[in-house]
Amino acid sequence: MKPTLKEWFGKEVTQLTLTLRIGCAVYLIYLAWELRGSVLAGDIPFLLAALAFFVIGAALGTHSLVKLIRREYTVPSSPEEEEETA
Amino acid sequence: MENAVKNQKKVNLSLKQYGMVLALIAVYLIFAVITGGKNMAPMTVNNIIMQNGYVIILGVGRLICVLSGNVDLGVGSVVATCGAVAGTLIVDYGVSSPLAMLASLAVGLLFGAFVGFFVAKLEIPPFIVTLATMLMGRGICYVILQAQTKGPLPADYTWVSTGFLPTIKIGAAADGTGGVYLICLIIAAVIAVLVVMGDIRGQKVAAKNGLPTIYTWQLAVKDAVIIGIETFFFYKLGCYNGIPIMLILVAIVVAIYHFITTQTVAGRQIYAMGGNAKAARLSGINTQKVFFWVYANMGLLCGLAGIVLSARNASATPKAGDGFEMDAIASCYIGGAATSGGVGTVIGAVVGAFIMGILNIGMSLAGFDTNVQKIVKGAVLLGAVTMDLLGKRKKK
Repeated sequence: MKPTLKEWFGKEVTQLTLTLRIGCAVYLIYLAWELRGSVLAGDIPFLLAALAFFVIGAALGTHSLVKLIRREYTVPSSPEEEEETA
Repeated sequence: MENAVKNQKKVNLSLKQYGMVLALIAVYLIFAVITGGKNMAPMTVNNIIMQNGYVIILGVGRLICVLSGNVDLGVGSVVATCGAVAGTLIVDYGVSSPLAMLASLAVGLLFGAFVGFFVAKLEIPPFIVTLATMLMGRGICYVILQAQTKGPLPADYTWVSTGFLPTIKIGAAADGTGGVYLICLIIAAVIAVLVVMGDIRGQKVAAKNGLPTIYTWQLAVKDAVIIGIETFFFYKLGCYNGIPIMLILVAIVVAIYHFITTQTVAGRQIYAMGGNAKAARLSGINTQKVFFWVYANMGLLCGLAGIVLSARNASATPKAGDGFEMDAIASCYIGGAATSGGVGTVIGAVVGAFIMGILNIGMSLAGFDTNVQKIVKGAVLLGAVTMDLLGKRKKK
């Protein structure tokens, strides 16, 4: 059975993971912003890359921020438990 | 006794913790092919350390912040300001280099304490406070430098980032060309011995306590790869100018923080707060104190990075530190802090910093356009995000 979007992102994330995802989202949006020169010059590959970075960054950042605010994260399990479930 | 040995449970080596090391090797080899082997030249290997020392230092500090569940956006500005203070003291006031370095560290610590006070005591969200320090720090930097570049800085200051350990060369020709610096070979051999002895000891302790041991051949392969990497690395350094002072500095910082995060109560408290701050507080951890020292520590490391950067450039510039926050966070993320179930490590952040460094240098050597470099960095970050998401899903 195909996982739903909710299941895809999953709930087994920690506060650390969400914080880092937000940081990465900001970096992706920053990279998209840095590519604005080439975008304005009309370079299609750069335009596509900037668009991809912005969309993915915004989606990832928003989703992670919402989960962080709603406290939808778990306490990290111990390394022994992680090995058993791997 | 023989039955006990025969019945000793064997397990496979967990590749999860070495995933990023394999990624590091893969990135390096890919760029070796793209650049025609230029990134394997002794000078390039040396530059990987010299140009990315500050990324590693900031990555370690950033990791400690993130482990406690917080962010610091003001890193770049504080680095620039600390460098500006040191540069101005030396150039305009004739202060000695050691004093200027102490001043830089003190300014960094002050910034960190400032942030720590607002975050810990007044409980203002770190995002807001560090955004403020990002703006204030940059402004203070411009005021101190009066929008100019201060330099040149003296040799006893720049030595931190450009100096090498004194050593002797072996195998050199009569005219001094060729040969390898002895200290690099010695360090490579010592590390190789420590790696093997560490594994042997680990296996013995596990067997003694009835715990599963890892297959010997897998350990041998792992050790061969690690020893191969470090021998290659130190050999290349030995073919250039020996051990950079920067490498010693970075190794000390990494060792200290690795010890703190793995062997001390403070380290466990930081991890506990990152997992669940409320539970940590209820279990008796003084979260205010920990938050304060996490940010004070970040400030101190920014001061150190400020010294390293201004020493590397032999000057203090108002635009120093631009985008450093991004490099530091990418190092932490790519290094596996997000892919390892939320349990980030200092070593992971270092590996992430090396991946970023090899990417930067490899792309420069290959002559990639700066915009193309941004796309590659973004793609690498997306790859790490994908691994993170897929990893979480597979666990379920």
